[in-house]
Amino acid sequence: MGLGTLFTNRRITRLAARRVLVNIRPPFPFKILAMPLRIYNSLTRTKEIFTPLSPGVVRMYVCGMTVYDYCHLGHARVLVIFDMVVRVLRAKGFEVRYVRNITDIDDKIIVRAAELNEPFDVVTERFITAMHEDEDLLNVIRPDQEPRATGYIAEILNMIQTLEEKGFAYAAKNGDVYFRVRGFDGYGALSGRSLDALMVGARVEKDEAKDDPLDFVLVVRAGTSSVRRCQRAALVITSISTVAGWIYVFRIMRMKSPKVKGQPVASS
Amino acid sequence: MHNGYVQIDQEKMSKSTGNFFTIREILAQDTDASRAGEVIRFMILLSHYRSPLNFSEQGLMQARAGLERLYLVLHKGRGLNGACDKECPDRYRVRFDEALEDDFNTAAAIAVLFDAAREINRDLDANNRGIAGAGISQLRELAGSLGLLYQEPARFLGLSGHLGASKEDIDLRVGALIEQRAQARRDGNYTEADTIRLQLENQGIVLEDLEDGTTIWRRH
Repeated sequence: MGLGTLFTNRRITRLAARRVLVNIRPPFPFKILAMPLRIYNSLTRTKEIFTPLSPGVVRMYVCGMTVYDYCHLGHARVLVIFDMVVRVLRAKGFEVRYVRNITDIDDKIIVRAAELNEPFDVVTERFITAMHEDEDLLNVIRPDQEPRATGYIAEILNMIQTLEEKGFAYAAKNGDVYFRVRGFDGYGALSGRSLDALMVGARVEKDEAKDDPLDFVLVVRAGTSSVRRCQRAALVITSISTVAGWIYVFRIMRMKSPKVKGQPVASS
Repeated sequence: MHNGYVQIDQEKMSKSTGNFFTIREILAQDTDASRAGEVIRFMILLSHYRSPLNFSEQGLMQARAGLERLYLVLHKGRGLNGACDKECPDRYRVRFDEALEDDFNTAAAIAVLFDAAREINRDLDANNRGIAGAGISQLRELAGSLGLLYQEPARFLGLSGHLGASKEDIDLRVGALIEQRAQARRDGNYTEADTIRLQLENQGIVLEDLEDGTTIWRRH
């Protein structure tokens, strides 16, 4: 058998193989395989295929409302969008455990309660009820859990203490505890802004005692002057944990400085 | 995940500058808070969650008109058997799911609902009752997975509202509705025009359009 025959045979084999491939193609239309869910990841700035940490189970945490007033349209958007996300995930067969916190203690609430001359929890209770009425009318399914910040004060203080011990936070001369922005490499990663860019809008108020203008207050020392100071310090870290074994989740609200308003922040 | 901002007439909504609306302020614009609630929900879902949401009076009206179009189809096809057999495959599911799987593109998913409504309307007009009925149950199911079209169509469309007690009230109200319908037709808004005609029919009032362009009405 010469080389020529070998080549010819090989060619025939290849052609035959190709034909086989054609023949085994299923009749059109094929059953289209369901595309995996793709979600835009704020951190990587790309759409990524969504894979939950535990197969089939989605644990979802949404930054909820600070209840010192009636919900506005921005809140309506958060309520509806994440309700849609939960519905879509459930329709795809995921078991979804949806947690949306309620910030029921912070400077804005204290200021509002003082204005209304009411205890702060009377104020927050009223606006929580109003929020639930609003979301019912928007056909929003209630989250599985709505942890309230006041239920976790001890955990919050513990976490702040841990941050202090690790050098991420410090107590200033006036007794307030600040987060040291430059102590944490990942700060600003979600907003995509460098510290230098954020610096443009940062200011130090007279009665503040922070090391760096970008640092933000974690907890203020009780006292009359702190309420006023608190009005612009809206960066709060809260920790959420439950007996059911939720891992600690913390959220960071943005600073209320006008210059940094344009950055994307967690659903607020 | 982060959702985009809400803008009011192209300006970022901001509490500190007073440029904002509460949910209840918007709900109070409608006599029916449940309907207004679904209109707000629909308006929000008409934009992709990452885009800025521009809120305007006109946008809200467009959202309501869009929902009315969908509800009108459900109303027209009421009573049809929605059971689907082999002959009526799910025509919309694949495109609808693909839209949502692509980073929750609700705008594209809602576009599928409008396509469905258009085809169902055609089937209803052609008296293809089986296909129309199947389409309606598919439309209901898809919309339901976005938390939409959950109300009684007649109620959403305001078809069950009373015209008034006295003869004068009725004359006045019917006259106003006929004028509103004529305006809707001049604007090319035939969905609204149809809705008004149906609303009057439900109250036992039949309209007749004369050749000179005027409309007269009589009781059934």
